Amino acid sequence: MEAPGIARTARPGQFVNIDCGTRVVDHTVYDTDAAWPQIGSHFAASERIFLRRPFSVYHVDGARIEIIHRVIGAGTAALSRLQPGDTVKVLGPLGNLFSFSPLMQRAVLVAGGIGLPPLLILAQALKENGLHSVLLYGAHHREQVIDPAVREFETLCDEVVVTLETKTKGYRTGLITEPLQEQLHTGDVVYAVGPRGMLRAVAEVAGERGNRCYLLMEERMACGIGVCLSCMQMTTSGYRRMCVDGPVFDAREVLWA
Amino acid sequence: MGVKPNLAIDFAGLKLARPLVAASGTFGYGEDFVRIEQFANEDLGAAVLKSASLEPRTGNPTPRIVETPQGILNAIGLENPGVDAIIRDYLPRLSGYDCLFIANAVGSSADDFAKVAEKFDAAPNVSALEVNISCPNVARGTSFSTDPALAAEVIGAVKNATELPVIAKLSPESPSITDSGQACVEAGADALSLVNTFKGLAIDVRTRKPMLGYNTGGLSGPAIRPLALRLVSEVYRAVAQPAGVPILGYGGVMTAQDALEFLIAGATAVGIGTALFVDPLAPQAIAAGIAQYMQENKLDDLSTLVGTLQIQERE
Repeated sequence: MEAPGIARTARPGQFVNIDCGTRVVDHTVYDTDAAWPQIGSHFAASERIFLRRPFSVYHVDGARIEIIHRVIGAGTAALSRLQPGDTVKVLGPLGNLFSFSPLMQRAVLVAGGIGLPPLLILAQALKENGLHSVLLYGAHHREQVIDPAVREFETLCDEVVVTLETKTKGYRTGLITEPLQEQLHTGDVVYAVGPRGMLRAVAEVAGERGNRCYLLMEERMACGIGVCLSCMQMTTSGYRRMCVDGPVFDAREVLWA
Repeated sequence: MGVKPNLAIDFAGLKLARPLVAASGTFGYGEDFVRIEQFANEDLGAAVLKSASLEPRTGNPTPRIVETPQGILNAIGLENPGVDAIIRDYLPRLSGYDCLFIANAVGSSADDFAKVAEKFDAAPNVSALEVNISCPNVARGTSFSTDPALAAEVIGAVKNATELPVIAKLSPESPSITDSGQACVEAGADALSLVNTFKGLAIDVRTRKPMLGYNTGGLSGPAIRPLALRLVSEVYRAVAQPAGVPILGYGGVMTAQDALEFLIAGATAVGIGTALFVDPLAPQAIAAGIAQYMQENKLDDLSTLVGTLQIQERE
């Protein structure tokens, strides 16, 4: 997307809220991303997606920003139908930042599934600051692996480890916490993005080993600017807003339901 | 073209530069949107701040929001840091905007509401008080509005506690919204606002659980617009017009056309809520559209449009 203002100011960890456009109603499917009933419903053949959807910034190139998304529900399906040259409304950059210190030993980036893209601009920033990083990337099966992104990380990180939950030739099998246990050294700082279960497991490993750990989290969101109080995460200091107090949280502050 | 149309309107003694009011719960405590380039609080005539209760409230478990056809279902649960913290931390910052701020009070008894009202009475930068007797997302939230006697008790207690103009926010779930509105006016309400959200349910067919942590939620957005408009029209004719009390109309307003419908139905000012989540710049566009309509229809005073619905005679 051509978005000069966002491209100029977006920092690692931040996201944008995108107006995904119009969805085409398929009367035969059901859709667990959104609440609308589909079977036997009588909607028009197309319908505007109502709320904007949040997407992490993957890459910044001059005046352009890139996101990578998977088609999960109606919003992302509509987004995938956009053509080059189409105009979309984008609000951003939103949210807080991944913080890092020039004094830290090394960054251990942990990504699960579609959690990989937000870590790229962090890996770039780390390298620009002369800091070392490794990427541990877990996916369910081979098709989920975002190959072009992995190649980008290979130019930025000291090491890239990919594990798949489904046994696949040429890949390590298992959960991402196994390579994490092996790789984690004293003084490393963990940055994790992925499904909630993975984040929790990563936070536990980091906690046991005494490593600082930052999690980029997700929750259903509406406004993106902190007013609606929809995207809440319970923390040691009460409910916090994903969109302005997050999406990055110190793992020690997160309370898991 | 002649002079730029004047969108100013008098609402219960408040001089609104525009007939547009941000709805409570969609605008934080007044300064969140100003971070957005191109947005100014002056795009609105007034903004109703997020609800304030006597004690802090944690709110409901997540998920708190889900998109539904042309709308959203929310169950936030009146999360707020409590009236004292709001007055201390947020209100002092709100001077210097050419936009009025309206506080919003919630409570679990008439006495509770009155205590919150009393605190706002002495607070800076508050021009009026909206009394939320109609939240669908907390226990007994709507019961104050749906029972005219209870509604009158709360509004009466609030009126005794403050000299601010008092706006009673009505639930669309009332057996008779006109009876509730009438009771509020008789108890001294200076204005009525309607409607709050409609109670709704969305289900995840995979898990067979409700989509929201609170199970049900309040529906807002264009999905409720015709329902809200009908209620505004009825309350205007049955209560507000005879009593000379203005209505702040809410219900899925996204465009100038929608806002004009509410004005014609009898609202003196129009709330914008869900639209702010979809497009924070909506108020500017709506104001521009209203100005264009005024020019095309040679209106120099917006109040002459209010309640001009031409009801058709029926056999």
